[in-house]
Amino acid sequence: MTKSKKLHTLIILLLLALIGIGAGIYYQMTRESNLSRLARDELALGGMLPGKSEQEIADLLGAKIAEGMVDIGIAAEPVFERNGKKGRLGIENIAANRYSFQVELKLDETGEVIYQSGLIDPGYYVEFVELNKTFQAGDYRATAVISTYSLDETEDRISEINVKILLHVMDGTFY
Amino acid sequence: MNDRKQWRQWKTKAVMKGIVIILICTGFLCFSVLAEEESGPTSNVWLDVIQMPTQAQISVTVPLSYGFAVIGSVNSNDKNPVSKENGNLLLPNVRVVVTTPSGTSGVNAEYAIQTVSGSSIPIRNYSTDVRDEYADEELPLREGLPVEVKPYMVAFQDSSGPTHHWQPASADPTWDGTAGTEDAAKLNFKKFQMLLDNLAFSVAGQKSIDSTVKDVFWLEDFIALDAPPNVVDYGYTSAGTAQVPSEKYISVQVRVGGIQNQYKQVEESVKVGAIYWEVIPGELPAVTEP
Repeated sequence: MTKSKKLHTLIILLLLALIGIGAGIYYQMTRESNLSRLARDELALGGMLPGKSEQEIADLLGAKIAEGMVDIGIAAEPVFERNGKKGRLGIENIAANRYSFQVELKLDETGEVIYQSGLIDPGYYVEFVELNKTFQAGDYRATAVISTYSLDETEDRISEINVKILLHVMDGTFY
Repeated sequence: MNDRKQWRQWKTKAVMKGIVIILICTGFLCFSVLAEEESGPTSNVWLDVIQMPTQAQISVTVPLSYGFAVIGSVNSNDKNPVSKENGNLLLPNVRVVVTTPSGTSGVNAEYAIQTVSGSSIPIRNYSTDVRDEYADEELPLREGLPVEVKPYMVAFQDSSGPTHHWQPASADPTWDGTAGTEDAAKLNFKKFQMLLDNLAFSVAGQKSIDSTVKDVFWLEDFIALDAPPNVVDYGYTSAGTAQVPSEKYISVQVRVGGIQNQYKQVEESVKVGAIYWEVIPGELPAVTEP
Protein backbone atom coordinates (compact mmCIF):
# COMPACT_ATOMS: atom_id res chain seq x y z
CA MET A 1 0.00 0.00 0.00
CA THR A 2 2.77 2.44 0.94
CA LYS A 3 4.72 1.51 -2.16
CA SER A 4 1.60 1.89 -4.25
CA LYS A 5 0.97 5.36 -2.79
CA LYS A 6 4.51 6.43 -3.50
CA LEU A 7 4.16 5.12 -7.03
CA HIS A 8 0.91 7.06 -7.48
CA THR A 9 2.51 10.21 -6.13
CA LEU A 10 5.45 9.78 -8.43
CA ILE A 11 3.23 9.21 -11.45
CA ILE A 12 1.11 12.30 -10.71
CA LEU A 13 4.18 14.43 -10.13
CA LEU A 14 5.70 13.19 -13.37
CA LEU A 15 2.45 13.92 -15.20
CA LEU A 16 2.32 17.45 -13.78
CA ALA A 17 5.95 18.02 -14.67
CA LEU A 18 5.29 16.76 -18.19
CA ILE A 19 2.31 19.09 -18.51
CA GLY A 20 4.47 22.01 -17.37
CA ILE A 21 7.33 21.15 -19.69
CA GLY A 22 4.89 20.51 -22.57
CA ALA A 23 3.26 23.88 -22.02
CA GLY A 24 6.69 25.52 -22.02
CA ILE A 25 7.78 23.81 -25.23
CA TYR A 26 4.44 24.62 -26.89
CA TYR A 27 4.82 28.28 -25.94
CA GLN A 28 8.33 28.53 -27.30
CA MET A 29 7.43 26.71 -30.53
CA THR A 30 4.39 28.89 -31.12
CA ARG A 31 6.51 31.95 -30.50
CA GLU A 32 9.16 30.90 -33.00
CA SER A 33 6.52 29.99 -35.55
CA ASN A 34 4.92 33.41 -35.10
CA LEU A 35 8.29 35.02 -35.74
CA SER A 36 8.93 33.00 -38.90
CA ARG A 37 5.51 33.95 -40.23
CA LEU A 38 6.72 37.56 -40.13
CA ALA A 39 9.79 36.87 -42.28
CA ARG A 40 10.01 38.87 -45.51
CA ASP A 41 8.72 37.22 -48.65
CA GLU A 42 11.66 36.40 -50.90
CA LEU A 43 9.43 36.52 -53.97
CA ALA A 44 8.35 40.12 -53.33
CA LEU A 45 9.52 42.50 -56.06
CA GLY A 46 10.45 46.13 -55.60
CA GLY A 47 8.08 48.69 -57.05
CA MET A 48 4.34 48.84 -57.27
CA LEU A 49 1.73 46.37 -58.33
CA PRO A 50 0.64 47.00 -61.94
CA GLY A 51 -2.66 48.72 -62.47
CA LYS A 52 -2.29 51.81 -60.32
CA SER A 53 -3.48 55.09 -61.77
CA GLU A 54 -1.03 57.90 -62.41
CA GLN A 55 -2.52 59.87 -59.55
CA GLU A 56 -2.13 56.90 -57.18
CA ILE A 57 1.50 56.52 -58.21
CA ALA A 58 2.16 60.25 -57.74
CA ASP A 59 0.47 60.12 -54.32
CA LEU A 60 2.57 57.13 -53.29
CA LEU A 61 5.74 58.89 -54.40
CA GLY A 62 4.69 61.96 -52.43
CA ALA A 63 4.07 59.83 -49.35
CA LYS A 64 7.49 58.24 -49.78
CA ILE A 65 9.15 61.64 -49.76
CA ALA A 66 7.16 62.71 -46.70
CA GLU A 67 8.31 59.55 -44.92
CA GLY A 68 11.87 60.29 -45.98
CA MET A 69 11.98 63.73 -44.34
CA VAL A 70 14.29 63.52 -41.35
CA ASP A 71 15.39 66.00 -38.73
CA ILE A 72 18.86 65.64 -37.23
CA GLY A 73 20.16 67.48 -34.19
CA ILE A 74 23.73 67.63 -32.91
CA ALA A 75 26.07 70.11 -31.19
CA ALA A 76 28.27 71.98 -33.66
CA GLU A 77 31.10 72.83 -31.25
CA PRO A 78 30.93 70.39 -28.34
CA VAL A 79 33.24 70.95 -25.37
CA PHE A 80 34.92 67.82 -23.99
CA GLU A 81 36.34 67.97 -20.48
CA ARG A 82 39.12 65.89 -18.94
CA ASN A 83 40.76 65.18 -22.31
CA GLY A 84 37.65 63.67 -23.85
CA LYS A 85 36.03 61.95 -20.88
CA LYS A 86 32.77 63.84 -21.12
CA GLY A 87 31.32 66.15 -23.73
CA ARG A 88 27.87 67.36 -24.66
CA LEU A 89 27.34 66.02 -28.18
CA GLY A 90 23.57 66.60 -27.95
CA ILE A 91 22.42 63.99 -30.49
CA GLU A 92 18.67 64.23 -30.84
CA ASN A 93 16.38 61.95 -32.84
CA ILE A 94 13.00 63.64 -32.55
CA ALA A 95 9.86 61.54 -32.14
CA ALA A 96 8.47 62.72 -35.48
CA ASN A 97 11.29 60.98 -37.37
CA ARG A 98 10.71 57.57 -38.89
CA TYR A 99 14.34 56.51 -38.88
CA SER A 100 16.71 55.35 -36.16
CA PHE A 101 20.15 56.94 -36.03
CA GLN A 102 23.58 55.54 -35.50
CA VAL A 103 26.25 58.18 -35.06
CA GLU A 104 29.98 57.95 -35.58
CA LEU A 105 32.38 60.76 -34.83
CA LYS A 106 35.39 60.74 -37.14
CA LEU A 107 38.47 62.91 -37.03
CA ASP A 108 38.80 64.83 -40.31
CA GLU A 109 42.56 64.56 -40.28
CA THR A 110 42.84 60.80 -39.94
CA GLY A 111 39.34 59.40 -40.44
CA GLU A 112 39.70 57.67 -37.08
CA VAL A 113 36.43 56.83 -35.30
CA ILE A 114 36.56 58.46 -31.88
CA TYR A 115 32.98 57.81 -30.84
CA GLN A 116 30.28 55.43 -31.96
CA SER A 117 26.74 55.40 -30.66
CA GLY A 118 24.36 52.51 -30.56
CA LEU A 119 21.06 52.72 -32.39
CA ILE A 120 19.09 55.78 -31.31
CA ASP A 121 15.39 55.37 -32.01
CA PRO A 122 13.00 58.27 -32.73
CA GLY A 123 12.07 59.98 -29.49
CA TYR A 124 15.47 59.32 -27.87
CA TYR A 125 18.54 61.45 -27.41
CA VAL A 126 22.11 61.11 -26.20
CA GLU A 127 23.35 64.21 -24.46
CA PHE A 128 26.79 63.46 -23.02
CA VAL A 129 29.30 61.05 -24.52
CA GLU A 130 32.84 59.89 -23.85
CA LEU A 131 35.43 59.74 -26.62
CA ASN A 132 37.25 56.45 -26.98
CA LYS A 133 40.63 58.15 -27.08
CA THR A 134 42.47 60.59 -24.84
CA PHE A 135 43.12 63.94 -26.50
CA GLN A 136 45.44 66.75 -25.60
CA ALA A 137 43.68 70.03 -24.95
CA GLY A 138 42.92 71.82 -28.19
CA ASP A 139 40.50 72.06 -31.10
CA TYR A 140 39.92 69.18 -33.49
CA ARG A 141 37.90 69.17 -36.70
CA ALA A 142 35.63 66.16 -36.98
CA THR A 143 32.61 64.88 -38.88
CA ALA A 144 29.55 63.39 -37.26
CA VAL A 145 28.36 60.66 -39.61
CA ILE A 146 24.68 60.10 -38.90
CA SER A 147 23.48 56.91 -40.56
CA THR A 148 19.74 56.36 -40.78
CA TYR A 149 18.03 53.00 -40.49
CA SER A 150 14.48 51.79 -40.84
CA LEU A 151 14.66 48.39 -39.22
CA ASP A 152 10.99 47.73 -39.98
CA GLU A 153 11.91 47.66 -43.68
CA THR A 154 15.54 46.61 -43.94
CA GLU A 155 18.74 46.35 -41.93
CA ASP A 156 20.60 48.19 -44.69
CA ARG A 157 21.43 51.82 -44.15
CA ILE A 158 18.87 54.12 -45.76
CA SER A 159 21.01 57.22 -46.07
CA GLU A 160 23.54 59.34 -44.26
CA ILE A 161 23.96 62.91 -43.10
CA ASN A 162 27.42 64.24 -42.31
CA VAL A 163 27.74 67.26 -40.06
CA LYS A 164 31.02 69.12 -39.88
CA ILE A 165 31.78 69.94 -36.25
CA LEU A 166 34.61 71.35 -34.15
CA LEU A 167 35.61 69.59 -30.92
CA HIS A 168 36.96 71.74 -28.09
CA VAL A 169 38.94 69.46 -25.77
CA MET A 170 39.96 70.71 -22.31
CA ASP A 171 42.17 69.04 -19.75
CA GLY A 172 40.16 70.39 -16.81
CA THR A 173 36.48 70.09 -15.95
CA PHE A 174 33.76 72.04 -17.71
CA TYR A 175 30.41 70.55 -16.79
CA MET B 1 -12.61 5.99 6.77
CA ASN B 2 -9.00 6.09 7.73
CA ASP B 3 -8.14 5.29 4.15
CA ARG B 4 -10.28 8.18 2.96
CA LYS B 5 -8.48 10.57 5.29
CA GLN B 6 -5.16 9.34 4.09
CA TRP B 7 -6.36 9.65 0.46
CA ARG B 8 -7.40 13.29 1.07
CA GLN B 9 -4.06 14.11 2.67
CA TRP B 10 -2.25 12.43 -0.18
CA LYS B 11 -4.39 14.28 -2.70
CA THR B 12 -3.73 17.65 -1.02
CA LYS B 13 -0.01 16.97 -0.96
CA ALA B 14 -0.04 15.91 -4.61
CA VAL B 15 -1.95 19.05 -5.66
CA MET B 16 0.43 21.26 -3.66
CA LYS B 17 3.45 19.60 -5.22
CA GLY B 18 1.87 19.98 -8.65
CA ILE B 19 1.28 23.67 -8.06
CA VAL B 20 4.88 24.10 -6.95
CA ILE B 21 6.13 22.35 -10.09
CA ILE B 22 3.89 24.45 -12.33
CA LEU B 23 5.09 27.60 -10.59
CA ILE B 24 8.70 26.56 -11.12
CA CYS B 25 8.02 25.83 -14.82
CA THR B 26 6.26 29.19 -15.20
CA GLY B 27 9.21 30.85 -13.50
CA PHE B 28 11.60 29.27 -16.01
CA LEU B 29 9.37 30.39 -18.86
CA CYS B 30 9.22 33.95 -17.61
CA PHE B 31 12.97 33.99 -17.16
CA SER B 32 13.44 32.67 -20.69
CA VAL B 33 11.10 35.30 -22.15
CA LEU B 34 12.71 38.10 -20.19
CA ALA B 35 16.16 36.94 -21.22
CA GLU B 36 15.12 37.24 -24.87
CA GLU B 37 13.63 40.71 -24.52
CA GLU B 38 15.25 43.14 -26.89
CA SER B 39 17.08 45.90 -25.17
CA GLY B 40 16.38 49.54 -26.08
CA PRO B 41 18.91 51.85 -27.60
CA THR B 42 22.34 50.82 -26.49
CA SER B 43 23.62 54.31 -25.90
CA ASN B 44 23.80 55.58 -22.38
CA VAL B 45 21.67 58.48 -21.37
CA TRP B 46 23.02 60.39 -18.42
CA LEU B 47 20.67 62.12 -16.10
CA ASP B 48 22.19 65.36 -15.09
CA VAL B 49 21.35 68.71 -13.62
CA ILE B 50 19.31 70.57 -16.23
CA GLN B 51 21.69 72.93 -17.87
CA MET B 52 20.90 75.11 -20.86
CA PRO B 53 23.48 74.42 -23.54
CA THR B 54 25.70 77.32 -24.41
CA GLN B 55 27.06 75.81 -27.61
CA ALA B 56 25.85 75.89 -31.19
CA GLN B 57 23.21 73.28 -31.90
CA ILE B 58 22.69 72.14 -35.49
CA SER B 59 19.24 70.96 -36.46
CA VAL B 60 18.08 70.58 -40.05
CA THR B 61 15.26 68.74 -41.75
CA VAL B 62 16.13 67.27 -45.12
CA PRO B 63 14.62 64.68 -47.46
CA LEU B 64 16.53 61.40 -47.59
CA SER B 65 14.70 60.00 -50.58
CA TYR B 66 13.14 61.08 -53.80
CA GLY B 67 11.05 59.11 -56.22
CA PHE B 68 9.78 59.24 -59.77
CA ALA B 69 7.92 56.92 -62.08
CA VAL B 70 8.18 56.38 -65.81
CA ILE B 71 4.97 55.62 -67.65
CA GLY B 72 6.33 52.84 -69.77
CA SER B 73 4.83 51.14 -72.77
CA VAL B 74 4.73 47.71 -74.35
CA ASN B 75 3.92 49.31 -77.70
CA SER B 76 7.04 49.27 -79.86
CA ASN B 77 5.86 52.47 -81.58
CA ASP B 78 6.09 54.49 -78.35
CA LYS B 79 9.56 55.82 -79.02
CA ASN B 80 9.32 59.02 -77.03
CA PRO B 81 12.10 60.42 -74.91
CA VAL B 82 11.24 60.14 -71.22
CA SER B 83 10.34 63.52 -69.84
CA LYS B 84 7.71 65.40 -67.92
CA GLU B 85 6.87 67.36 -71.05
CA ASN B 86 6.14 64.15 -72.93
CA GLY B 87 3.83 63.07 -70.13
CA ASN B 88 5.66 59.84 -69.43
CA LEU B 89 7.58 60.89 -66.33
CA LEU B 90 5.70 61.29 -63.05
CA LEU B 91 7.12 63.32 -60.19
CA PRO B 92 5.62 63.39 -56.70
CA ASN B 93 4.08 66.84 -56.85
CA VAL B 94 2.20 66.20 -60.06
CA ARG B 95 -1.46 66.97 -59.57
CA VAL B 96 -4.42 65.79 -61.54
CA VAL B 97 -6.68 68.42 -62.99
CA VAL B 98 -10.17 67.39 -64.01
CA THR B 99 -10.87 68.53 -67.55
CA THR B 100 -14.25 66.87 -67.92
CA PRO B 101 -16.03 66.37 -64.60
CA SER B 102 -18.11 63.26 -64.14
CA GLY B 103 -21.71 64.36 -64.55
CA THR B 104 -25.18 62.94 -64.50
CA SER B 105 -25.17 62.29 -68.24
CA GLY B 106 -23.04 59.21 -67.73
CA VAL B 107 -19.96 60.77 -69.31
CA ASN B 108 -16.79 59.40 -67.80
CA ALA B 109 -14.58 61.95 -66.17
CA GLU B 110 -11.42 62.91 -68.01
CA TYR B 111 -8.27 63.95 -66.32
CA ALA B 112 -5.14 65.70 -67.41
CA ILE B 113 -1.81 65.52 -65.70
CA GLN B 114 -0.61 69.00 -64.94
CA THR B 115 2.36 70.19 -63.02
CA VAL B 116 1.08 72.98 -60.88
CA SER B 117 4.23 74.71 -59.74
CA GLY B 118 6.95 72.24 -60.44
CA SER B 119 8.11 69.66 -57.93
CA SER B 120 9.69 71.09 -54.84
CA ILE B 121 10.65 69.84 -51.41
CA PRO B 122 11.20 71.80 -48.21
CA ILE B 123 14.46 71.97 -46.26
CA ARG B 124 14.30 73.49 -42.79
CA ASN B 125 16.93 74.93 -40.49
CA TYR B 126 16.39 75.09 -36.71
CA SER B 127 20.04 75.74 -35.77
CA THR B 128 21.02 78.30 -33.14
CA ASP B 129 24.17 79.52 -31.44
CA VAL B 130 25.26 81.65 -28.49
CA ARG B 131 27.72 84.51 -28.89
CA ASP B 132 30.92 84.11 -26.89
CA GLU B 133 30.16 87.16 -24.75
CA TYR B 134 26.93 85.54 -23.48
CA ALA B 135 28.30 82.02 -23.04
CA ASP B 136 28.80 82.32 -19.28
CA GLU B 137 25.31 83.59 -18.57
CA GLU B 138 22.78 81.34 -16.90
CA LEU B 139 20.21 81.80 -19.66
CA PRO B 140 22.31 82.82 -22.62
CA LEU B 141 20.70 84.60 -25.53
CA ARG B 142 20.44 82.26 -28.49
CA GLU B 143 20.39 83.44 -32.08
CA GLY B 144 19.57 81.72 -35.34
CA LEU B 145 22.53 80.15 -37.12
CA PRO B 146 22.70 79.85 -40.92
CA VAL B 147 23.95 76.58 -42.40
CA GLU B 148 24.94 75.30 -45.79
CA VAL B 149 24.01 71.87 -47.07
CA LYS B 150 25.48 69.95 -49.95
CA PRO B 151 23.76 66.74 -51.05
CA TYR B 152 25.25 63.87 -52.99
CA MET B 153 24.15 60.57 -54.45
CA VAL B 154 26.02 57.30 -54.42
CA ALA B 155 27.43 56.79 -57.93
CA PHE B 156 27.52 53.04 -58.07
CA GLN B 157 24.47 50.96 -57.37
CA ASP B 158 24.27 47.21 -57.58
CA SER B 159 22.39 46.23 -60.74
CA SER B 160 21.76 42.65 -59.69
CA GLY B 161 18.63 41.35 -58.04
CA PRO B 162 14.97 41.39 -58.90
CA THR B 163 14.43 45.11 -58.43
CA HIS B 164 16.65 46.14 -61.37
CA HIS B 165 18.39 49.08 -59.77
CA TRP B 166 18.72 52.38 -61.54
CA GLN B 167 22.00 54.14 -62.09
CA PRO B 168 22.65 57.83 -61.39
CA ALA B 169 24.43 59.67 -64.18
CA SER B 170 26.67 62.71 -63.93
CA ALA B 171 25.52 64.01 -67.34
CA ASP B 172 22.04 64.52 -68.74
CA PRO B 173 20.94 61.07 -70.03
CA THR B 174 17.75 62.30 -71.73
CA TRP B 175 17.32 61.31 -75.37
CA ASP B 176 17.03 64.23 -77.74
CA GLY B 177 14.43 62.38 -79.82
CA THR B 178 16.54 62.28 -82.99
CA ALA B 179 16.07 58.99 -84.81
CA GLY B 180 19.76 58.68 -85.59
CA THR B 181 20.68 58.66 -81.93
CA GLU B 182 18.09 56.08 -80.91
CA ASP B 183 20.53 53.22 -80.44
CA ALA B 184 22.81 55.39 -78.32
CA ALA B 185 19.79 56.56 -76.31
CA LYS B 186 18.92 52.97 -75.49
CA LEU B 187 22.23 52.64 -73.69
CA ASN B 188 20.95 55.18 -71.17
CA PHE B 189 18.04 52.95 -70.19
CA LYS B 190 17.42 53.36 -66.46
CA LYS B 191 20.00 56.08 -66.04
CA PHE B 192 18.90 59.26 -64.35
CA GLN B 193 20.22 62.59 -63.22
CA MET B 194 18.63 64.66 -60.50
CA LEU B 195 18.69 68.40 -60.04
CA LEU B 196 17.97 70.28 -56.81
CA ASP B 197 17.48 74.02 -56.82
CA ASN B 198 18.38 73.94 -60.54
CA LEU B 199 21.77 72.44 -59.71
CA ALA B 200 22.69 69.01 -61.05
CA PHE B 201 24.27 66.11 -59.20
CA SER B 202 27.10 66.20 -61.70
CA VAL B 203 30.39 66.48 -59.86
CA ALA B 204 31.94 63.04 -59.65
CA GLY B 205 34.08 62.77 -56.57
CA GLN B 206 34.88 60.86 -53.47
CA LYS B 207 33.77 61.21 -49.94
CA SER B 208 36.70 62.01 -47.78
CA ILE B 209 35.49 60.73 -44.44
CA ASP B 210 33.47 57.58 -45.01
CA SER B 211 34.99 54.26 -45.93
CA THR B 212 31.76 52.55 -47.02
CA VAL B 213 30.57 55.20 -49.49
CA LYS B 214 33.37 56.40 -51.74
CA ASP B 215 32.32 57.24 -55.29
CA VAL B 216 29.61 59.85 -55.30
CA PHE B 217 28.04 62.55 -57.45
CA TRP B 218 28.00 65.84 -55.58
CA LEU B 219 25.54 68.61 -56.29
CA GLU B 220 27.24 71.37 -58.26
CA ASP B 221 27.13 73.84 -55.38
CA PHE B 222 26.08 74.35 -51.79
CA ILE B 223 22.51 75.22 -50.85
CA ALA B 224 22.49 78.01 -48.30
CA LEU B 225 19.83 77.96 -45.60
CA ASP B 226 19.06 81.18 -43.76
CA ALA B 227 19.19 81.39 -39.97
CA PRO B 228 15.87 80.71 -38.21
CA PRO B 229 14.02 84.00 -37.90
CA ASN B 230 13.79 86.00 -34.69
CA VAL B 231 14.74 83.29 -32.18
CA VAL B 232 14.49 85.81 -29.33
CA ASP B 233 10.75 86.25 -29.88
CA TYR B 234 9.76 82.82 -31.19
CA GLY B 235 11.87 81.00 -28.64
CA TYR B 236 13.88 77.79 -28.66
CA THR B 237 13.72 74.31 -27.17
CA SER B 238 15.67 73.10 -24.14
CA ALA B 239 18.00 71.36 -26.59
CA GLY B 240 18.80 74.74 -28.13
CA THR B 241 16.92 74.45 -31.42
CA ALA B 242 14.67 77.22 -32.73
CA GLN B 243 10.92 76.83 -32.35
CA VAL B 244 10.36 78.36 -35.78
CA PRO B 245 12.74 77.29 -38.55
CA SER B 246 13.84 79.02 -41.69
CA GLU B 247 12.38 77.14 -44.62
CA LYS B 248 13.43 76.88 -48.21
CA TYR B 249 11.56 75.06 -50.93
CA ILE B 250 13.98 73.70 -53.46
CA SER B 251 12.89 72.69 -56.91
CA VAL B 252 13.47 69.12 -58.02
CA GLN B 253 13.94 67.94 -61.57
CA VAL B 254 14.74 64.51 -62.89
CA ARG B 255 16.28 63.66 -66.26
CA VAL B 256 15.71 60.10 -67.34
CA GLY B 257 17.47 58.20 -70.11
CA GLY B 258 16.18 55.57 -72.49
CA ILE B 259 13.12 55.39 -74.69
CA GLN B 260 9.56 55.01 -73.43
CA ASN B 261 9.03 51.51 -74.82
CA GLN B 262 12.14 50.25 -73.04
CA TYR B 263 10.25 50.58 -69.76
CA LYS B 264 7.96 47.59 -70.03
CA GLN B 265 7.67 46.35 -66.47
CA VAL B 266 6.43 48.17 -63.44
CA GLU B 267 9.51 47.40 -61.40
CA GLU B 268 11.58 48.98 -64.20
CA SER B 269 9.52 52.14 -64.10
CA VAL B 270 9.66 53.28 -60.49
CA LYS B 271 12.70 54.65 -58.74
CA VAL B 272 12.98 55.81 -55.17
CA GLY B 273 16.56 56.85 -54.52
CA ALA B 274 18.49 57.95 -51.48
CA ILE B 275 19.88 61.46 -51.08
CA TYR B 276 22.88 61.89 -48.78
CA TRP B 277 23.75 65.20 -47.16
CA GLU B 278 26.66 67.14 -45.80
CA VAL B 279 25.85 69.95 -43.36
CA ILE B 280 28.29 72.78 -42.71
CA PRO B 281 27.44 75.16 -39.86
CA GLY B 282 27.71 78.83 -40.69
CA GLU B 283 28.56 81.69 -38.37
CA LEU B 284 26.46 84.20 -36.52
CA PRO B 285 26.28 87.45 -38.44
CA ALA B 286 28.50 90.25 -37.18
CA VAL B 287 26.77 92.67 -34.82
CA THR B 288 26.19 95.97 -36.53
CA GLU B 289 26.61 99.02 -34.37
CA PRO B 290 23.56 101.28 -34.31
